[in-house]
Amino acid sequence: MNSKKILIVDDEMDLVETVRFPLEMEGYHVLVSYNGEDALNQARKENPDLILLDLMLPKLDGYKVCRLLKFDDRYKHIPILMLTAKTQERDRALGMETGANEYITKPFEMEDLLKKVKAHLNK
Amino acid sequence: MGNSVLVVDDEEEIRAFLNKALSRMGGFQVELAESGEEALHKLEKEPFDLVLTDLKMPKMDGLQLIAAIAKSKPETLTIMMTGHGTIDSALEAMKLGASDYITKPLNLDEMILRLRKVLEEKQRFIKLKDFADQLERTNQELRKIDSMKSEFVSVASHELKTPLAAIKNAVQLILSGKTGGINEHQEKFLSMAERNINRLTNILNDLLNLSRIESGKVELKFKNIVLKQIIQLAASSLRPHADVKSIQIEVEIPEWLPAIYGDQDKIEQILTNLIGNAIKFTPDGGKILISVKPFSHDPNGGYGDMVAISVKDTGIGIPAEHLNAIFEKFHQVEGSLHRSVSGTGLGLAITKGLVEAHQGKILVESEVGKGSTFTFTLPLSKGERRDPHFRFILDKEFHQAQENNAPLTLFLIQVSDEGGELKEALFSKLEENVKQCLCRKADILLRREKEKILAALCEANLEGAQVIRRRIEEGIHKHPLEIGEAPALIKVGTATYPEEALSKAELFRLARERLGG
Repeated sequence: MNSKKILIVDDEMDLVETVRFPLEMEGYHVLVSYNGEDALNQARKENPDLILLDLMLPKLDGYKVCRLLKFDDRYKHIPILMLTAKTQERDRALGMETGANEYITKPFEMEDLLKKVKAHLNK
Repeated sequence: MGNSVLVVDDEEEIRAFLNKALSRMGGFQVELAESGEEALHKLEKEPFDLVLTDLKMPKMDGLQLIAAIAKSKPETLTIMMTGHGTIDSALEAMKLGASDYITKPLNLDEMILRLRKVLEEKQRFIKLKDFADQLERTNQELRKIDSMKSEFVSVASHELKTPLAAIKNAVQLILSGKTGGINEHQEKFLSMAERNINRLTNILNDLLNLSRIESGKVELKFKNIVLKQIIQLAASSLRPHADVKSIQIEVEIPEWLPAIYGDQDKIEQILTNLIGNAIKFTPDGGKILISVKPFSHDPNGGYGDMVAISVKDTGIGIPAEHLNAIFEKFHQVEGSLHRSVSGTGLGLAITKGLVEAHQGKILVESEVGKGSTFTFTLPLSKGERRDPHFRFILDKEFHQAQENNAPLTLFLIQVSDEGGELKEALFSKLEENVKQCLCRKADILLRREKEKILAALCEANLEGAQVIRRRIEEGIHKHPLEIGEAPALIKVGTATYPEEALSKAELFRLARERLGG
């Protein structure tokens, strides 16, 4: 069993549950935030090994959360996988520009997501 | 109620006469003024439909009055009354804004007729203007609604995707067995749910794409691109699907294909859609042919400034009554095969939108039971069009002309020392009725104006090439070419060669292929 910590940030509770379950099955320790501000606080406090980050969030949007973490020497090593319904090329470019490690559009294939999580944690 | 007319004249007698005549015979509401100043004063207080003014008056004359009215009350019509020999003043009045002029001595019937005519014209103008304004308002409203619709589609698609993601995850979780074992029936129906979630996702993505295209928000990254690579890429990515149905995909791309100007991803999408459709609607063991030809939308243009790309299949075909509607959203052609074919119903609408975003056109030809051919055009790269290194002017009707035994001249404007060799290569297979001419200078070409030119092969920066090019551009080639038996011979497709792509050996091979074949 590994005890890697993953933070899921999404305001859609059902979606969070469907992602949390398989991650916990894989043995990960899962933390959850339902808004951008809480996500930033939790990330700083818990120092997770990976973050799954939605873009459209209450209080602080995903772009800002990502930028703030990636600009901080203490947290910039944390892989951030953006999960979003925004499919436009421009949104993707913006996401990657803020320093995200992956840009995954909803709906996604669960197996793909699990593979990507694993790959980033093993780097 | 009659129109209101202000009569301006310094002579009391005329004023009284006009007052009586216009109100009794013409049915106008008449008001009088004895000077330009008084007329302007009255116009300030109340509006008049028309001002009928004398030319010669003390102080402010008729011309000054007309100019003043045109400036301060442009909606008021003005008519000038002039005496004999003052036609210049009448014209001057018209220039200043008068609607008409009437010469003295006055003919009452004629005057009333003219007044009425001017007023009617004004009425018509007002009506038309109201109509135009209304159209403009409606147009603006429609544009607003249309953009709201696109915005709505975009927002709705995004909003739908999030719950869809949760459903998909939940279904996939159960299917993966992570939540415990499931039986065969449960797996079958959950797989069905998963397939339809994916289908719904595709529809949402297509809707989003289409709304972006329709609202002009599609982001095209234009650059010079090599079509050949994209076609081969699109064809090979779809080959596995074709193999399943034992469908052969053939690609026919001329060696001389110049670069085109467009968005690589979008052109790939166009091709993928068309080839994908061809595979869908072609029965097992059929064939799909992708071919490229030079093309011009201008029927008189000798220059091919576009390329036409065709995707031809041996599929079920499209009934004639559906051909026009096939590019519309969600259009479904009923047919036995179609039932088993799933799609979003938006593919061709997107394809058309993407082609048009490239200033191209798309059309379809089809015969039920035999197959369909979709052809779309794309612009050549601008650099290729303006300043090609080599330009090969080809005659579409070459073979036809040969059949008709029409004497033709082929010009070869030569630069290199390998003239003989090239000539040999070009002419070795030509028929007897095709005369040959190798020339180095433009003046030889010019003297040969009466002859029909079949084709000219030359380097673009040469004098002779410039002559030919100019003749084509100016449409002069019609003269030497439309005389005689085989008209309009130089209505040709042209092809341009990118500098680096054409070695001498290749040129020879091409020449043989094109002219000797």
